[in-house]
Amino acid sequence: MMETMMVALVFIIVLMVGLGFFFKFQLSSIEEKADTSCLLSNTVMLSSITSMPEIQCSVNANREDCIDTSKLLVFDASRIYQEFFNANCDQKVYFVELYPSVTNGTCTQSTYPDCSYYYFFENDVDYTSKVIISTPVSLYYPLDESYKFGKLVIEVLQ
Amino acid sequence: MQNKAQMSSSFNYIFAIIIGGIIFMFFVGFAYKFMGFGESIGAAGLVNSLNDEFAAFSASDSAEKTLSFNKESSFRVYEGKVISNEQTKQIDHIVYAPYLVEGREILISTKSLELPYRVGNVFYVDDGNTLYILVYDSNTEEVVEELINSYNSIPTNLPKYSVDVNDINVNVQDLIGASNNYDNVRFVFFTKYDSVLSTIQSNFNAYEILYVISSEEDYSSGYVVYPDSSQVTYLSYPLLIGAMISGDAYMYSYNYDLVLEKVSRVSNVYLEKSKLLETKLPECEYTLIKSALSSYMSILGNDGYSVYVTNIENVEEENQKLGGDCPEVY
Repeated sequence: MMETMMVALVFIIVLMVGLGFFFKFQLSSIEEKADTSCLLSNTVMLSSITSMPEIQCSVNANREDCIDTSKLLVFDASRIYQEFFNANCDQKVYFVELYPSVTNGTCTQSTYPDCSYYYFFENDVDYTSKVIISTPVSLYYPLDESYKFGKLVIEVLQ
Repeated sequence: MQNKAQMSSSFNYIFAIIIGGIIFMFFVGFAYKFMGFGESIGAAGLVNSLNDEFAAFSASDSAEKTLSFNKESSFRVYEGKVISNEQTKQIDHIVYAPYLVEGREILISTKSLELPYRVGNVFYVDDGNTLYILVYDSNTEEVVEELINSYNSIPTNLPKYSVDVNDINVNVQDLIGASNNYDNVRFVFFTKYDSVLSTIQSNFNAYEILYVISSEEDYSSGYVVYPDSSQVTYLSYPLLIGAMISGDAYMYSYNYDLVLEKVSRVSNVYLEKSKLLETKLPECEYTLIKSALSSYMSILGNDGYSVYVTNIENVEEENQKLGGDCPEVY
């Protein structure tokens, strides 16, 4: 009787330890998949952000492949697109004018157009690491109808 | 003594059966839960991949794609969510779809929506099980031709067929032949259908009739009447195609409200932009375009389509007056 119970007990302990390991590996595999999926979604987002009608250029009623900086100033994506950006993971999104950059200041209605950083979406969250992805963009300045070289940056917060 | 040994042996067997039974039940339960978990992961993958496809497509003015799956998939696109196997994901896109999408191949397409400036993309999801038959008369033949063969056309991956209303009674066998490979047929009438209703009723089992009404010559905006007599407004061909595909009037109207929300959002951006331009370029006159945009924003939500047509034309007109040293708003 005692021996049978001991065998059953050992079997159950071995089973539990086995299942524990199985679930641990399963969980880390799912976490890895979620991270990959997050990075993939943000890479797709690089192209979808540049085609958002709220910020994309429209010159003479024709859509153009550039970002209208005046729209960046008046559109608050943090308020409107909270769910869109937070769907898979947290991120920070901004545009930077690279050439010919005059100053490094953040763009507001009073500093515009003598500035370089246009913050588009910011998340106030704690994170341990971040992956930075970016794509070159053409920035359009309607005041003098000029185009400047810049980039769209997404910081994926992990 | 022998009796005691026999009892102990029997007790061991009973004990082993009980423990074995418990372990067996545990494994069966575990396997069952794990199968459910696997299905949920698969459904989440489907929902995520659809969402990524929509996001990638939104960069294009017009695009089509067929998604192939290694097994039968089914999902619903309802109230801004993709729902598959109890997995739900909110999508920030305007997606028109039948009530249930199922099959190994899913057809996805998109069109840019301009009212009068681009306000975003609308997406169409279909399983190819429904044939859309567009019925015209001599007045609407060109409209249907435009919808079938032009840049504004119904996506090429959607099964469609066009026919003159006068040919339905005469050549109904052609129509039956064309719809043979489809589970459902949806007739979209750009003319009155009283004269052919009995022919349709007697020759088709699974069919629905949609009726398009418009006073615009090109039918670029108007109303669509669903089989339950619900009437919805459409404001351009992309929305008319959306109405054709949508499962019912409610599903269309949900997306229509999202369209108006987008129009409001983008219009507000242009209104704020015109205020900024006015501040930075005081020599320029932006009062009229601001007023046109404000007026356009104030009528969003109206049921009729003619008020939209008037306001859109007004915004276009005021924007065209700008230019040169005073940049256009859009």
